[in-house]
Amino acid sequence: MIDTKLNLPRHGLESLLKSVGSSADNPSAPPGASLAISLNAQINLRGNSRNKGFLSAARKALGQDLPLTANTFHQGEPGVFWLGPDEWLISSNEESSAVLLGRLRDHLQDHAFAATDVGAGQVCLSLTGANASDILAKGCTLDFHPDHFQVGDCAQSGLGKTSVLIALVSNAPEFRIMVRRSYADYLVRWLLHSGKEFGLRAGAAS
Amino acid sequence: MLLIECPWCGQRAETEFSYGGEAGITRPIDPSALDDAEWADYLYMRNNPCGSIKELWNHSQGCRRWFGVERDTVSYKIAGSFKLYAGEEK
Amino acid sequence: MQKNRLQSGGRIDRTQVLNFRFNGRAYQGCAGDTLASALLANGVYLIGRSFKLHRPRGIVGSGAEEPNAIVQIGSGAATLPNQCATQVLLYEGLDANSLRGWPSVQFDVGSITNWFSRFLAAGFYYKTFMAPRKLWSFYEKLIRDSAGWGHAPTKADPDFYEHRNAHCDVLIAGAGPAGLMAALAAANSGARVIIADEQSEFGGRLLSQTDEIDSMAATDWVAQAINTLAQHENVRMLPRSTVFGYFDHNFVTIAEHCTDHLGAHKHTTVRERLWRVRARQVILAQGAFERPLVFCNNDRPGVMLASAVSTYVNRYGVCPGREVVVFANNDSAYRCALDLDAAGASVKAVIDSRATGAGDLQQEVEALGITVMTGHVVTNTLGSQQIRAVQIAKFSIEGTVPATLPAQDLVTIQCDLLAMSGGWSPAVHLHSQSGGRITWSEELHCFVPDGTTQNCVSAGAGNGAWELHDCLRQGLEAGKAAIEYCGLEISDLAEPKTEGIETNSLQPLWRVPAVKAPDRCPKQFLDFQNDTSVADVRLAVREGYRNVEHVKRYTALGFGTDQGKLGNINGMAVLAEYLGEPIANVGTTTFRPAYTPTSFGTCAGETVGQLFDPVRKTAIHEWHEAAGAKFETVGQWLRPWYFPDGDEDLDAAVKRECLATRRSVGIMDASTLGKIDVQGPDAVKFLERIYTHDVGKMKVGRCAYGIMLGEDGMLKDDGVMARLGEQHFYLTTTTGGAASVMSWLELWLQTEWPDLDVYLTSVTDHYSTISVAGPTSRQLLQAIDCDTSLDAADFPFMSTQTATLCNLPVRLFRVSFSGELAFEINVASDHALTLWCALMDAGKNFDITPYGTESMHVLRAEKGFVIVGQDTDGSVTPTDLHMSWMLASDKDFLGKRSLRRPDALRADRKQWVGLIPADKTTVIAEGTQLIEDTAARAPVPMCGHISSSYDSPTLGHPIALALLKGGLERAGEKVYASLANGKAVPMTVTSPVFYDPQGERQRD
Repeated sequence: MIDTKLNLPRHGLESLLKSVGSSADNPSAPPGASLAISLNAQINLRGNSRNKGFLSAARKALGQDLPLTANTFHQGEPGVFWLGPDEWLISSNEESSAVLLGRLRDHLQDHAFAATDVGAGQVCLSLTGANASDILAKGCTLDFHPDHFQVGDCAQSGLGKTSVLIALVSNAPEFRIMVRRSYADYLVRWLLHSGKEFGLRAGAAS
Repeated sequence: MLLIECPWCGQRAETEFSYGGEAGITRPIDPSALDDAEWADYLYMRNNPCGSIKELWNHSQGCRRWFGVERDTVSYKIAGSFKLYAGEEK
Repeated sequence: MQKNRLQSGGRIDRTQVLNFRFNGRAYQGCAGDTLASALLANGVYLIGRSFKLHRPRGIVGSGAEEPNAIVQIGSGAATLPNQCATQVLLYEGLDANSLRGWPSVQFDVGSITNWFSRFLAAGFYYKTFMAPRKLWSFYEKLIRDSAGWGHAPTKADPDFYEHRNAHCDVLIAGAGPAGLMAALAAANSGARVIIADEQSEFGGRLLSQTDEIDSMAATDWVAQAINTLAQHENVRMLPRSTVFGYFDHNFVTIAEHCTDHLGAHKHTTVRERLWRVRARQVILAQGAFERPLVFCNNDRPGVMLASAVSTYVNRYGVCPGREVVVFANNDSAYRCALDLDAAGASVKAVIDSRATGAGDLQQEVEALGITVMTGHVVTNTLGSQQIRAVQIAKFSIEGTVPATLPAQDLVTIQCDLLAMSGGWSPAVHLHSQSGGRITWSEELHCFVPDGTTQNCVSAGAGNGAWELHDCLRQGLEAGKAAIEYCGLEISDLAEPKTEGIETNSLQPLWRVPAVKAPDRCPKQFLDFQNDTSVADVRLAVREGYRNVEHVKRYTALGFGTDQGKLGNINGMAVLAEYLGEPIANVGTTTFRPAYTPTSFGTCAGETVGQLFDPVRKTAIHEWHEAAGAKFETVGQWLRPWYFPDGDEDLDAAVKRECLATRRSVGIMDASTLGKIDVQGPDAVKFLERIYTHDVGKMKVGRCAYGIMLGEDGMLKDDGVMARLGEQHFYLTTTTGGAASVMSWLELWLQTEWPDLDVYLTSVTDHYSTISVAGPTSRQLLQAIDCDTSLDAADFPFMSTQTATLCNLPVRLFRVSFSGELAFEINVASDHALTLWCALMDAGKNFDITPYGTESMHVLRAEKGFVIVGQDTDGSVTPTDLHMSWMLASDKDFLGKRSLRRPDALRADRKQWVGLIPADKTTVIAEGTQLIEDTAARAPVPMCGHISSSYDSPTLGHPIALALLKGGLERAGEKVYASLANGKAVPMTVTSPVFYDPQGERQRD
């Protein structure tokens, strides 16, 4: 009979976390980039951006405005990313999805909206270092030249053969990459392969 | 590879989009009132012009919006993109 | 001993000697050599045998145009077939071999074909091997073996490759004088520039010539330009990088050869990189190809392009001959005579077809004491495996080219090298690929770019500018125009100073007459690589071919690895002559990517092996792996197929899994189901239009099986949908349909019904779904601290509620895909593994058995549940599937109107039935066709096909599901499954529901 007492980790991404860092060709060379994985609370928020009441209620719930400029995000706690003209991603490292959801529902109840917990469905990767954009350019058609993609910019696009949300959070540069959980294993493998020539390392999860 | 202008996200590579066929095929308000020929016309008949056509594209790897593109089927030149309904967004 | 190596000069490093092998013999070359220059330095003239006639062939050119010197590099898994020796950079240990020639390239048995080559004219194979038809496969093998190209490696390529996207303001193809000048102009204005050149060094023709620019050697000017460009942060210089494809909207592909020149390496760094560039402006400056001249035996080793000879002398320090004849119809070849003289070779004569001779250069040549014979042509060469002499004759064109030359006029000149020049043809390939037109220039006697549809401009020799100052000026102008287009400030870069010379114009000379007619004289080759001669084109015209594309395919003119870079224009001109039409009317064949051969590795990039396609894994995947599951790929998902106990095979495992589920409890990871969260005031209104059933009547907390139709009335997708709140629904889709259903729903919402306030959010990855099925599934959940009553009265079949299990928040659905009492548990994916392990742990007391997709399929087939995409194929209506009861009559929904179309009402539609083999033992393969009558004569009419088939463990005999014509009315009848071996198995038609037709077990 199959052993049912396998001692297994909680969220199934441990082996991925471990694999980051053991891949560099030349471990003594300074890494051109580093990669970290984190899980955080994420809410998908939908609503009418022309409805002033909705916008101000959302501001009250989140402590900041929803970004209305396409492909931008507001840093902070929580961070808010533009996903579409009526769609945002709210991401928090400090509060739980349940708390965020509760606050949104309390404030938005008078408006047409949808707030959906998607946190367990997404993995957040952080790619930092001088060669970070070189690595991304191997599998993404976006233009990451500093004149074109600046801190505060985000974009949904393809990376390798999967879909991602990429945001530039600092000029280190540090890119935040959100990917669907089921694709995370593939994408991390892809990043490790593509980052090989730049000595991609494991960084600290933020 | 085409360079397609998403009305919200700007110019992006064709690989981010999926195709939706000819634009402007409006669903009849009361399908039951149509005879078979009229229904078949709505269902199957498309113009397929040699030249300029308005077609549907979905920014499937981006903002998930459907929008219209005016494209020349011979030169592949894109005259422009347009939102599909009058209101800016919902 | 490099007998042809010059003592000094060239851009090679004589102190760095490199050892290499060619056809098994050891040679030495220098760093900076190509394989071709190293072979010439060693006096190796015979490089291979021709494709069809096995004629001896040597090096003709010095770059991508080379048709003959095609070799196989290395051996084993990393071997490279069909490499052009003129483009292979020499490295220590390089091992190259000729493609053809048995037993050796010097003595090739196949060369007997040359003796009866008169019979091997164009179309020979088509005409000769027509009959008997059955023998074609035999002939084909013989023909392919005797011709054939290099050998593809038989093992996986150990190298790796990658793709890289790039964006720039200005992309420049070619780093010769025009390209470099354009780059300098663009870089000076701060533009983002990519400049790529297929050669190892930038400079193009400047590396092969002795010009001066701004009073310095041209090579110094090149070095200065490279230096300047390197200082601009926004400039990317790509040597060894071929711009090989020009696609829509200024999307350009470049193949960068990263490591081949480094020699045998450890396969740890990228070998080739595919750059996918989106450029705002493209400047095409790839230069021009020199044309050969067409005369008898013009393919003999030792006959080379004049420009290539200059390249070997000036760039590689190799003098390919001692006694040289130069033959030209234009001025440029006179430079070759000067270069050879400076290198110490004896230039026996310059043969110029023009009565007028050349301009300034002729005086320079004559000042060195070299004989210039104007109004003469080379009509034949003598020799065997290398040229020994040329036969020249007086020549003049009066109106038309004379048909033959008088034999008594022939004069023989001994030589070991013939340098020829038939003029130049711009490399218009990329321009043409971009959608640009080309036109025949009566002034320049070549095709030149003429108008583009994309943001692209041609400059330099590629635009018909032969003189250096014109190239530099055009490059500068193109660079400035690009800057202007990009809205950047134009810098005041000045045109460099060069000395101009007076030249005489070229005399068009597409073929040199012989003493006999083309089909009687020795072969006058147009296309060396395909052994296409003047006689072949003449024959094609005589046999009625008129279109250049047809002539190409009949004579093979312009096929092969060189794609006719050398011979195409001569071929088209000769075709025009025989057609009696101007060349402009004949036109060219189509230029398609790739410009030069591009490896499969470059095309594939990193998408091989593990990265070939994404593998999606569920949050419970690690448990499945640890438990030894066998997996199958469903879409991109990797799903447990079955869980073998010990060395069980599929059948044994499935039998055990199914019986355990029916008897006690089975557990399955159903996380791959598509899941969509629907919220908004108009959610009901929206879903009423999507689903066929009455959504509005569903109470909060109820589930329903729902189907969606396309507007054509055919089943599109199905799944359970649940009402979580007044304005809140949760839908599941099939695993494979998740993305397409979502985008299809959005299409309706965004384009047809933007007035509806509804929001759709995918929660496929957020929730993991664990399905627990079997008579003891309720007890199992109760055993892990379920906080709510699971009794049928409190939690009836087809309902949903939230709960906590093991202190984890979950949502339970009382739905069943097995026909048993079952629960589907949605849990946030972060906790899925914890919950799964807890269930497995508690389940020990209930004989819990994990099962995979195969058992899931068997269990649902026993119960007669349809799988969209397996039992349906886009041509099946709900009525065909016994689902008429699900079609609400009092509302419209997508596809409803189509169900009244005559086709949807036909009585002989294929409809869903169950089948049981009469012998109750034969398992029929899925996809098997059904027939009515075993005695019918071929072609036997088919009446349906089997969509699902299993050996049912529960029933103890095989069952099948099938789509059968008129199936709804045929229960109890007999049909036959027609097997591949010709046998027919009788099958009894039944209801598709084999097990518990009343549904008592799942409602328990």
